[in-house]
Amino acid sequence: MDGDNLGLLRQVLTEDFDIDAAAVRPEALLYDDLDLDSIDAVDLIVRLKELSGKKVPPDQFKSVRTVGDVITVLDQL
Amino acid sequence: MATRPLLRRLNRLWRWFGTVFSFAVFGLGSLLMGLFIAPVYWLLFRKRSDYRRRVRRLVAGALRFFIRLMRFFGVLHYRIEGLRSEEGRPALILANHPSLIDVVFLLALFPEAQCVVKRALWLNPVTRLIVSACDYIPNDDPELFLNASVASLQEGQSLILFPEGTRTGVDGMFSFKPGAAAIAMRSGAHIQPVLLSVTPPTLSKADLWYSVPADKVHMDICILPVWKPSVQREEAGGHPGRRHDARRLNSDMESWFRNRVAAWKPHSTA
Repeated sequence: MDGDNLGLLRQVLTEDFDIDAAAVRPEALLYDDLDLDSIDAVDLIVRLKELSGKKVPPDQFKSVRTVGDVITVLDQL
Repeated sequence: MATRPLLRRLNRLWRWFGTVFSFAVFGLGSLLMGLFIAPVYWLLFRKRSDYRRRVRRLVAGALRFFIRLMRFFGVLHYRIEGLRSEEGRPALILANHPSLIDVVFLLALFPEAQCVVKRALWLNPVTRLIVSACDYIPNDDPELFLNASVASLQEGQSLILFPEGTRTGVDGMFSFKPGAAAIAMRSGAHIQPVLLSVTPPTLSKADLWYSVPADKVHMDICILPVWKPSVQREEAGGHPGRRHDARRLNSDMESWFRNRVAAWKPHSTA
């Protein structure tokens, strides 16, 4: 896994979503463990695009369950 | 005494016929409006907002006719209390969602409002054209739904939204999706709550759309006064602050609705 993308995701989740950095592990479930909801998912995509220039397509995000899944998607962009 | 069951059966047959006829009128009306009237409006009203407003008013008028038709057949009886906000500023109209006909009443009551609607209506050949003409918001893409909803309110359109995102389950338990609170916070709009009650429960998620209940259906609507959420908007804090406030607002609204609906029994089922 690309360390940069994990770092980026961790930065966004801690700064903008007030999530504990230690909780941001590849196997963490976005909805259950990190308590994100569907609106958070929209904001997350927007924020990731602002910081990395990479836009996650909505249908790809629909199948995302864990932090690791997000990183996989980001790696492929 | 022996004629009572016969009368009931005749009544039910009449209401069954009325139901089928009304649905046919609904379908045909949607198709004709979309195919013939909307294009004429498009030619007459070049300004987009004007066109949209007039198409929506047309639809609202058609739905009012549809409601009266159902009343004529005795399929349903309705009662409305409360006043729509006359302030002139757009409101976020939030309603619970007990049945399939909820949106029909809400569109009839708020004739120019924007509305979040199931994607299925854009795919259905009967409703597709008129729904596009009304420029409603589909519910399947979260980013589009959020941005279009906030933008509509900021442009001055009221917005009809079911915070539950779907019809209330048979158990009557409420579960608000986060969209309503997020839209309220980001648009700064006032909220106009509307309570709907359908007795006996019909056209709920558990029922088939063509089922005709043993008795006439009562639709009770209570429009409650407009209120402004007291939580701060995003100027007060960064994203974490806004997020926290949105969650708080969502849970407050959810329990408020749950309590009001539970306490409101316009027709006891005794």
